[in-house]
Amino acid sequence: MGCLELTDIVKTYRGAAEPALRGLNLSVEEGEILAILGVSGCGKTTALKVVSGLERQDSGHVALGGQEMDGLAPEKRPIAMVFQKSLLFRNMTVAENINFAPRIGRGMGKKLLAQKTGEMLELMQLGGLGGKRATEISGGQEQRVSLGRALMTEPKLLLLDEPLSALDPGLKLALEAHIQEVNRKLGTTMLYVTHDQKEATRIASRIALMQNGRIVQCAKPQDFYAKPATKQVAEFFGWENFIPARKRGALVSSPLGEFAIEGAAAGDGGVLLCVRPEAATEIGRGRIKAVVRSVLPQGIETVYETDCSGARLKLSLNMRHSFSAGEEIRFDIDPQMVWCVAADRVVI
Amino acid sequence: MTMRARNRMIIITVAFVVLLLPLIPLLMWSFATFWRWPAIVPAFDGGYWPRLFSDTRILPALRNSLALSALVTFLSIALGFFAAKNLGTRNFRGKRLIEFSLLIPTFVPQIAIVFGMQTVFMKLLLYSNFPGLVAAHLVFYLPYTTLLLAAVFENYDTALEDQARTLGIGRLKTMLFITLPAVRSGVIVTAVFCFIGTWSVYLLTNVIGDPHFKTLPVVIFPLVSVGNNSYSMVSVAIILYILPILIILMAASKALADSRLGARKGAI
Amino acid sequence: MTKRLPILASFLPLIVLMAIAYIWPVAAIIRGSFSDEAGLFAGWQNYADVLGSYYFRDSLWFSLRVSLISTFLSVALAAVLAMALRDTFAGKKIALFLSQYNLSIPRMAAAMIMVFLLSQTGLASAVSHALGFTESVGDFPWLVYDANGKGLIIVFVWKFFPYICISMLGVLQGASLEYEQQAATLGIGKWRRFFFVVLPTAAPAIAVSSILVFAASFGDYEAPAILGSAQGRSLSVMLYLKYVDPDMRDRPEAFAIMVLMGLVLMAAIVTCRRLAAGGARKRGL
Repeated sequence: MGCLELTDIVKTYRGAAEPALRGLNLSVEEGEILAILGVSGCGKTTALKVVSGLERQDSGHVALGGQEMDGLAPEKRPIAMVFQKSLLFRNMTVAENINFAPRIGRGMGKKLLAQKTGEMLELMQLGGLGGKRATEISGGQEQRVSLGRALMTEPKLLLLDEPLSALDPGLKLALEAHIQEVNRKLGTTMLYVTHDQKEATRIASRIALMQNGRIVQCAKPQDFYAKPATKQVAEFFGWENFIPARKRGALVSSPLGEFAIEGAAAGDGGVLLCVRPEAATEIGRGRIKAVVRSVLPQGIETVYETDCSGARLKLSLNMRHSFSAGEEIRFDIDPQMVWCVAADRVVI
Repeated sequence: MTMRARNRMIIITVAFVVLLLPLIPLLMWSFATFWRWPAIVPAFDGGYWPRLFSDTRILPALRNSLALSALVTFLSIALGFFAAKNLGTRNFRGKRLIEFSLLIPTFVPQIAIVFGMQTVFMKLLLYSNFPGLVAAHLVFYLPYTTLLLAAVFENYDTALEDQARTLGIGRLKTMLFITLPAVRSGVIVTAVFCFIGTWSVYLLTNVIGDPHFKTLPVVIFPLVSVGNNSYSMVSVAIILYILPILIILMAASKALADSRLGARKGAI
Repeated sequence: MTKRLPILASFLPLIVLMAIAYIWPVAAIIRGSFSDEAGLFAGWQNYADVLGSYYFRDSLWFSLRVSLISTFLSVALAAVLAMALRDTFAGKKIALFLSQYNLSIPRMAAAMIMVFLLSQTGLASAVSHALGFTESVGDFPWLVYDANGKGLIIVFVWKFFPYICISMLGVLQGASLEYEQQAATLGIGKWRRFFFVVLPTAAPAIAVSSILVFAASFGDYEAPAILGSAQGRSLSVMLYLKYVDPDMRDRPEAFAIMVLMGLVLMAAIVTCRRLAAGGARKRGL
């Protein structure tokens, strides 16, 4: 059974013209890290607020471990949340922040409290910092305190709202690894919101891509690169060329030739053939011909905008090859780097 | 997370009643010559209002008050403007000391200094005359205005001026077309608070002031403190004392809402 | 580099005015406080006389008590109102309007308004009689003109609590909100959130505005002169009476009281600035 089940959640903020969530469905498995990925304004933070109880949905249901959460105040839900800002209580020390919830909320015995605080400080790699004031530690440490403080409530589900987005790249990687380690050690189910596809790919066991207030695809990270569900998902994960083609069974025919694609995200008929810009192989020898229209140097790679039997095709080649506008390139396409999605339709 | 809507409404309503209710007896008294306990409502006979125009003290005092407060407000802003701009936008040695000294006249009650001023103003021939009265008000309201304006300038970016100057606009035009519009609502709010401040001054005007230039508080105070029984006249005078302030607050309400100062020191 | 207005020139009017019309009077007061009636040096004698006098200590205690109680009640009422206003759409506007309106009513007018409402023959007394709570004028509690300063406290609270409310609202609708959400997701209930999260966050703002309110009520002359005329217990009224006494024998003592009063308020300013600076530092400015 899933840990968290969200069913048809709709939420419109007062005074807003558009709903923030338009029928959100999501299921999070026990013990996994699921990342909700999306651009800012897609509704991902609202989703977390509804799950935590900080915002009330207009319709739909939130269930945790089979129990209805609707109408329960945030403090009554066995769900903790780490925010983008560390929000440490500045009038307290690091240790007092860590044990804030059991100390203020539950009145845990002193001895047990001290022991649990010590353990959590160790787990958060904050040993020796317990006595420092919350204002005296670094940004990375602050986020560790915030994480430890949330874990002290022993939550059934931990929500993380872009917890690392304010940190430098190096620190970010270290903390990602740390969060994964905590997930393995404690088995805490985590719902992790981010706008960074690479971060999501690194940290999550599954990614739910969110657009316009709903989940458009929920799958393992590598599937997003190999098998995007729609054109928008494909664009989000770096696919560039969308060439009109026709599909019959597993066979897709296009101006570039025919490709056999298993399990494509489209029915038979008019489709879009997706080609990654890095897909060209056998440069100078292959069967396909294209004429260079413009050259866009990008450092170690060069992007060529080409015309390939009437289709516009962007190719990214490394610096060993050099062509100028008007020249013809011959190449083949790596069959691993093509995919097929349904033709454009109007998305609400 | 949120307070229950019913409790919230009760609290807000009670607050409004508490804050506005005290004005009811004031208004009723102004329209009634007699009001004997235990009548809840007096017999309205127009009170002192019909006699107001034959009164030789209240209306001239109202005019004097308006003139004095307007003059002091104008002078405070004119004399404090550039000092405030420097305080708000630049760092220099002695800045904290100046800020601190400006707080003193605002905080230390006028009663603790007014008699010292009296002796000094006598020596300077500024005692019992109009220039002395204006100077005495400025002692308190120039620092106050400067502090409020300095807070306005803290949110003002001098880069705007530099931009204008690099576009070939002269100093005076930059001031008129760039600086002033940018701090306009802050200046209005400061002027409002300064006006209200000088408007409320009693002791200073009474001790230093010109006996031929009586302001409203100077006229009202003896009426109320001796337990005078012409409550209707007192009420009329007090209404005329409050009304200009309300009108000014209403007129400036947009600037008050715009400016961050609106929530600041207020007119304490 | 554009040539900006010379700093010293911009402060010149202020400096000249303050030197002549403030610092000189302060010097005169301090000198007066160390002199006898004849203007001869008297050492600490005036201070000793003042501090040893029962009437002075009584007045000081009275003024401190009235202004501290007024400040405390203002903060408590402001907290309740601010919590009620914080989630309302128009809350900020309402509070802003009320605070500006009340603060702007001169204290002299506020005091007289309270006389009309709360004196034993005032409207409240008449209503109480009509409702059958009181039989005669004397049954109604002595709210204004009373020896304990109840009327003064009512005037000050009435005038100042919306002001504290507005400065609290700034924090409650800003920084505090995020921290409360954080605490809520950590399982902390409503009341504990108020005491352990809201109050500590709002503390610097509350402290600064409370000191302003304390200073304004401690040094006020008009309201106690109107509402406590019979007793003259308030420090400012006592000081006034001592100074204007035609006998002039009490003037040196009056000067000493002025200096002491100034010192109390200077201490208030220093505390206020410390707190404000501390608040700014904590917010990471």
